Amino acid sequence: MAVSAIGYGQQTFDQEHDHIHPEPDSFIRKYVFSIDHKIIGFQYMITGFLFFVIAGLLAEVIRIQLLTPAGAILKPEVYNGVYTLHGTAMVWMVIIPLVTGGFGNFVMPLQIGARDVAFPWLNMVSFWIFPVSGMLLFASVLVGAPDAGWTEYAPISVQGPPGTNLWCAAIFLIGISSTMTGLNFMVTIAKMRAPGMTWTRMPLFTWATFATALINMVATVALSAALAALFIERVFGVPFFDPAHGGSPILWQHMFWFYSHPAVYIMILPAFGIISEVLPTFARKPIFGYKMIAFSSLSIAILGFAVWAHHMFTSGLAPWLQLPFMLITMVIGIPTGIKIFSWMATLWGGKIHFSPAMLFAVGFLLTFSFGGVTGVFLASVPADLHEHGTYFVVAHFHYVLFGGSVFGIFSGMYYWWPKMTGRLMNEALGKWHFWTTFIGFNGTFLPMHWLGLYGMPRRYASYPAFAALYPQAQFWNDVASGFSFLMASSTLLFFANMLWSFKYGKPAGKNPWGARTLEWMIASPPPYYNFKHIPAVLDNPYYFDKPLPYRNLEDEDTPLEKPVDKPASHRTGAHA
Amino acid sequence: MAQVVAPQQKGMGPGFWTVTLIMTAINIIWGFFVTNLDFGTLIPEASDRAVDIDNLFKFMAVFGGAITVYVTGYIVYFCIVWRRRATDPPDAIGIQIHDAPALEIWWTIIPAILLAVLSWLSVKVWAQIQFGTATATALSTEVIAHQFAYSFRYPGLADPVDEMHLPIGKPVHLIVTSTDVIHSFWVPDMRLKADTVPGITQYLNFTPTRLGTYTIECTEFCGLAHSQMSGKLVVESPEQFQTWLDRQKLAQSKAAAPSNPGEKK
Repeated sequence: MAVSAIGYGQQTFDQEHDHIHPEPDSFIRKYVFSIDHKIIGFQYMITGFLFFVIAGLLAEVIRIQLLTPAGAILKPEVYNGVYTLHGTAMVWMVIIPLVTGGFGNFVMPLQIGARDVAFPWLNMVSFWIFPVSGMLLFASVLVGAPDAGWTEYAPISVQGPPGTNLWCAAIFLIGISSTMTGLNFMVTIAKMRAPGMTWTRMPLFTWATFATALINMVATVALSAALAALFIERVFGVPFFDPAHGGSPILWQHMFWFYSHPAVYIMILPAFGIISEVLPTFARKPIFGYKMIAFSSLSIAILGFAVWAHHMFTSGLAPWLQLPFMLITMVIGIPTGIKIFSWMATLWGGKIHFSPAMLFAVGFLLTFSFGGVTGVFLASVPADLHEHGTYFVVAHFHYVLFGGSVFGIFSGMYYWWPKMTGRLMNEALGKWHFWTTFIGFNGTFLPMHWLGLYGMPRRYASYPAFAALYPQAQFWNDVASGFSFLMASSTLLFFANMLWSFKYGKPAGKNPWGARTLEWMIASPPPYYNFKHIPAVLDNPYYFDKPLPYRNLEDEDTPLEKPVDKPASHRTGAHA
Repeated sequence: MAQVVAPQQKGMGPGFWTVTLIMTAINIIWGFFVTNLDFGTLIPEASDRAVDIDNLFKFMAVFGGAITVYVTGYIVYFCIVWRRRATDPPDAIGIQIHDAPALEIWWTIIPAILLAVLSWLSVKVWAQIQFGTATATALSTEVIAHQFAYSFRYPGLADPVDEMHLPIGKPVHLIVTSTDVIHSFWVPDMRLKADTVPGITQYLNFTPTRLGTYTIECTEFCGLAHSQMSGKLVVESPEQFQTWLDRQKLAQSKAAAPSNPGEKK
């Protein structure tokens, strides 16, 4: 069949210049300084999960400390460093790298039928900044860990321990990496989609990655500027933020949240994307409201830039300024609601298969929607006057970041693991992992809602005054701690499952889940060139009662024999 | 490849309306429970703002609770009813529906209306907090936070004191500042909080409505003893307050007397 006979939409594809580079021979070029998006995705995941373990253990230290009102094990100077590193690492070294660098790298180019991202070398540099910045961050414990929480509000951060400088440097570096990845992904998605893949035929994970890349590119620079200013103030004494010398402490908060609120969407949008792939696959149904889900991702990304000061309702904003930020925050609840309802409707009428990936996706819907509801509680300015800075906030953002992003990450790991490794995971073990995580998670974070409302502030190494105020203070803290130990141990089942699959996992084949996006049309793990022939896309992927909407994939079952450095075997006569 | 045929479905599926009815009943009970619950029995409502804010909280608890019940309930119910059964062929697929514009309009409009109402209620309470007290007749008191305690400045007192006293029933215009880093002034029983930011002045307007001794807590990280930073607020009768104020005056003048009277420390 002649390729030109296929409806390509608006895409054009230069068959003549499509070629496959030979695979590098050396171990170093293949697995260490690789420019292959799949290897880089893997590297992000390995590094990200390594930091996940460290930051998770720090969380357990926090929970042990809060077992008693006086603080069970640590002095405040150590405890403050523990929660600062926990928060910082979970945001910048775990969730953001995993959802953008990890899944974005591995999945997105395969989903759009590309051989790699637009700038593979840049991609490699982006990745290698990540472990360096992670090590810088944790090296801060050697000189005195930063202690003012992941937000590092000035002016206390100006006076903070020497490790705060390393904190600045580490986040500055990972910010550069994020910006470059954002640029890379935007160009890749805009320019390298397979012929025929119009915007409305694009898989929803790719849509989410596109919206995320947009935020990464635009927002991260504000954080970089803030970090540079804080570093300069700390090292050279230029007073940007310290009012004692004429600086403005509120300026830091504006710059920090101008990035860090959109960063919330950097962390959650890819998880939305993962859920939007997993639900239709295991419900055997088209995603409900494809266009509305794609559109709401974009509108959340854009509206997300105009809500940052809702973190600052108690900070001393001009009073009238609180109103627009409250109203836009309320508005952002609408596209988020549309997504939740669309996912619910995707479940309706399905033939739902509860694989571990699907369990985590459903768990995501339950916990994330609850976190969304408590988010509205925080959006209302008067109510926030009571809730701000308490464990209610801690509970809320763990419901959206753990119950949302991390459940999404687990769902995605179970879903794409066979594609990444070519082997299936153990379903029973995966289900155990889900139930222990789900129960442990809710038991840990649900009590924090009322702990906060009853008067427990954040970032307390001990809580004698609160314990005097609320007789059950210690009881509920102990409940939270107890369940957190369950949640922590449940993660071991996940790592055990990875090891199990390497040793005993059955070969996955191309498409173990009967999924319909492009990454499942080629071998598992995909060959280094991804597609022997760039496929043509005829329709939106999510119609389970129609034939697969792809052409040019007939030949993908036999691997390319030898690495070539010239145009891969074109369709016959394409340029004869 | 032979394509599987999608099942057809009339209606919403087995038990849908029963489940909907049960959840609606739960929500009505929850709504009655929350609206009739006296939040003051859980955490004392010691200011007029506490009552306003709690009413706002009740509104959100009723409707947020309802949304949570419907979302959670339907998800669990769909998962049970629409699960793949052992008797289903492995290539069975679900009902191939991918849009329902009428439904989508409803689930956009209803949350939008709820959020609009919530915004309106929030703005009303917000305006009360910002502009509701005639500051000219109010008792003007200054809160000065510093590492790691609070000081309070009263009109007529030369020096700040380290305990806060307020007369019941008299509007208060609180001026909130800090001398070093950012702290926060929070009285959970009054539902009021303002960060104390060095170089910036914030205001809280309210009227204490309940006698008692309350805890002030710091909620912005302010250094090593952040978790020990708390203060005491006593709400008492106007007479007791006047007595306390006079006693402070006397104590301060005595303390000032031994040194040169004209010189303030």
